[in-house]
Amino acid sequence: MRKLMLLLTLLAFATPCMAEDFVLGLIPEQNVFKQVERYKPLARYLSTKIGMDVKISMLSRYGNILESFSSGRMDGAFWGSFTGALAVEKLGIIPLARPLYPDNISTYKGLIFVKKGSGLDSMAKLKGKRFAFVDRATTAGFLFPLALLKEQNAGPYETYFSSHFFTGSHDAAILSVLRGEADGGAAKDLIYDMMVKEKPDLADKLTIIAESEPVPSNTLGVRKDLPREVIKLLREALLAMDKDPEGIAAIKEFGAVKFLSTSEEDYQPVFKMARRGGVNFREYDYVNK
Amino acid sequence: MKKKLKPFIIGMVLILLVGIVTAAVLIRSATSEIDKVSGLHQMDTMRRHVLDSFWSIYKTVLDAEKGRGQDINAIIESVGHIKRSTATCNECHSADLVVEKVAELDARMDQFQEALSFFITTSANANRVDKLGIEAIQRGSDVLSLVEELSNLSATQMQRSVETMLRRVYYASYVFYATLTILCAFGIYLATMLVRSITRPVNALIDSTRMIADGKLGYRVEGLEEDEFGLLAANFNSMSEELRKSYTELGESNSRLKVEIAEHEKAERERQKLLEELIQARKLEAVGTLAGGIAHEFNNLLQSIQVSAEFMALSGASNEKHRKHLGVILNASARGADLTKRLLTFSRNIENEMRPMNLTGALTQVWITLKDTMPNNIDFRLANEQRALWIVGDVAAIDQILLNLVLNASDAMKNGGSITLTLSLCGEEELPAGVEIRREQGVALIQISDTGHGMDEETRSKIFEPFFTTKAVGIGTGLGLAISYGVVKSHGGQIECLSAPGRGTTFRIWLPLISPLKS
Repeated sequence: MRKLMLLLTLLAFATPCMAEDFVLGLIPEQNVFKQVERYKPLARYLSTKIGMDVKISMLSRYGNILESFSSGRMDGAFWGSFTGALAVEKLGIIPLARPLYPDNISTYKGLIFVKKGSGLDSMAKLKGKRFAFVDRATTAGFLFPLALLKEQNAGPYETYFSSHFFTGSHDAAILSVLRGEADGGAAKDLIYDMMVKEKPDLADKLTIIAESEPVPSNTLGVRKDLPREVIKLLREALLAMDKDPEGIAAIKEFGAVKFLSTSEEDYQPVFKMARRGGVNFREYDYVNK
Repeated sequence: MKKKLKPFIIGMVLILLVGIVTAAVLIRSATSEIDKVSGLHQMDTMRRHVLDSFWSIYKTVLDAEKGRGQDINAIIESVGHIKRSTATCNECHSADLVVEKVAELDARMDQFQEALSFFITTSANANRVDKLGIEAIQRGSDVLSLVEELSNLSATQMQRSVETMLRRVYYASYVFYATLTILCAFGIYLATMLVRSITRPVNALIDSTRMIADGKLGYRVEGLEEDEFGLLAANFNSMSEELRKSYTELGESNSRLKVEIAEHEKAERERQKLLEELIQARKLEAVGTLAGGIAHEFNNLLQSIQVSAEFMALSGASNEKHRKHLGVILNASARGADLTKRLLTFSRNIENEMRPMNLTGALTQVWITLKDTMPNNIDFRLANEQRALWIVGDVAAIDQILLNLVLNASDAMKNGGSITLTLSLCGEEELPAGVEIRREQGVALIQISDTGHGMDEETRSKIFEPFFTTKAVGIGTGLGLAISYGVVKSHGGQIECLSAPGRGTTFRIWLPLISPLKS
């Protein structure tokens, strides 16, 4: 009788409905609503695999993510390359995997673009013009153009351009240039490609004037004090997703083909760019001005 | 009956079915309208829901700091909710207008989402932030206005649907009432027809039974249909016919019975007559015997008186007075003797001397004897052309009766007239009915007819009775015809008297003939 009671109690604790939440943070690389819709299937799939309820938490800014993470409100997130590098440095997060997109793309590049026919075909030409950044905490949307300016010895960006602003998401930056709110803009090519896929005539309206080195695409990284077991399950689930029919469906909705294992090593290009741009990660102030 | 009503019953069932089906269809369509209405109501609910969501978003958005901070997830949830709500519209609607509107709503929502996203994610440039905020609100307003428009549309539609539904329900109820009314009318008609179909034949049959009761046997009930009543009528008719036949047969047998009874009665009368005749004959016999007996004695007595009186007359009795008295005595006694002789003759009739005799001669003799003694005013004729007619009989008796009859005839004609004495051969067909006589050799008919005063029926019927006379007492004895009757009877013949007052009298005597060669 005693044994039975013990068994029942154990079983009760073992039931999935006692699962904890796994808060998965997302940075707003695109229209927040669309992005949430995109990541939902993935979250659902992962929930089934790790036995925890994966909750998506969208952030309004790239910068928030570090605060949210450090204050313990998130368990994992899809880090941008810059934010990821920052997190690795400052928070010691553990990168797990990043998506492999169709055409074997698992990295992305930063793009500088202008309106077609505007004649502004280089960063030099953009002096005194209006520029649209994404966020101080993005590679493609800030670090890259910054590095380019530094190479030109242009001086602080605040004075180089006549005006500038931070759109917060990559697609907003692209749209700003398209709408004529800025003369030049910076965004990551993945988002650019996604938008072109939606509206093919976009490619005819914009000209890309610079491209960066490839950096790892948004990677899922978790906090270092997450239970080993969970980390293991998560890593396995991600890497085996393309072999599971349900996983394939989820990946397809996400827009990728599979997940690739990712480590600190993959962030090296980012660190390099940072040095070029004169950015010290440890002391970096990522509040947009 | 049933044939006529079948179409009606079928008609009723059809109308009932049509009515029910129509009403059901209308009600069905009405209820489907209800579904529509409830759907449209949902639209209204959604509108309010959307509104609420928007207000909460607005509140968050307007609060600049908050709007771009922690509550982003909530906003994303709300907006996602709205998007999902609007997406369900297309699940039910397929009308072009609606689909178009919903697509527009979708587009506007996307624009709103984009603007909101920009607003949420943008940072640094304060003007830009505000501008984006305003734009987001504007996009939101666009969505709201469209939602409002759609909501109004749906409200109008709902109104229309409700009206349609109500109308349909009314129609359904009208149809229902109409059906009921028609059915009632039909039902009443049907009931009337049914009742009539029973009462009519029943009355016909009642009338027919009355006819029968009134004696119109053989009366037929016609014009009924070929159903149970028709069968009853047919049976009735055959019964009526049977009755008539039976009645007729009864009538016939009745007539036959009557005839038989008549015949019986006739026979009875004959018997009676014969009986009377027998009695008559017996009477006569009795009287005759009696008369004969007395007469004989009386004759002797008279003889004595006569002889004595004659003696006294012869002895020369003296005086005149004595002679006169003697004359009276002699006269009376002679008459008495005569009467006695008559009586004897009457009684002696039983002892006739029967031998073949010639009637013709007898009659001729009588006529010769009497013709001269007849008064002058009487014409006495003899019609006797026949050759000899032979009978077996007593000449004296025959003579007597002939004499009697002729004298009677002459007594009846004090003022003159004619007497005809006829002898003829009577043919078979001339024999009256009721004359029973031997006729193998023929029958002779003697007729004595006069043109005197005749007799009434009462007198005639009694004429052959002994001692019946119309003459005064002392003059007629009433025996003559009685004797004649007896004589004729003993000769195997028949005597008959025909007379009427003022028309004269005829006596007929039939006698059976014999062949002349007989002896």
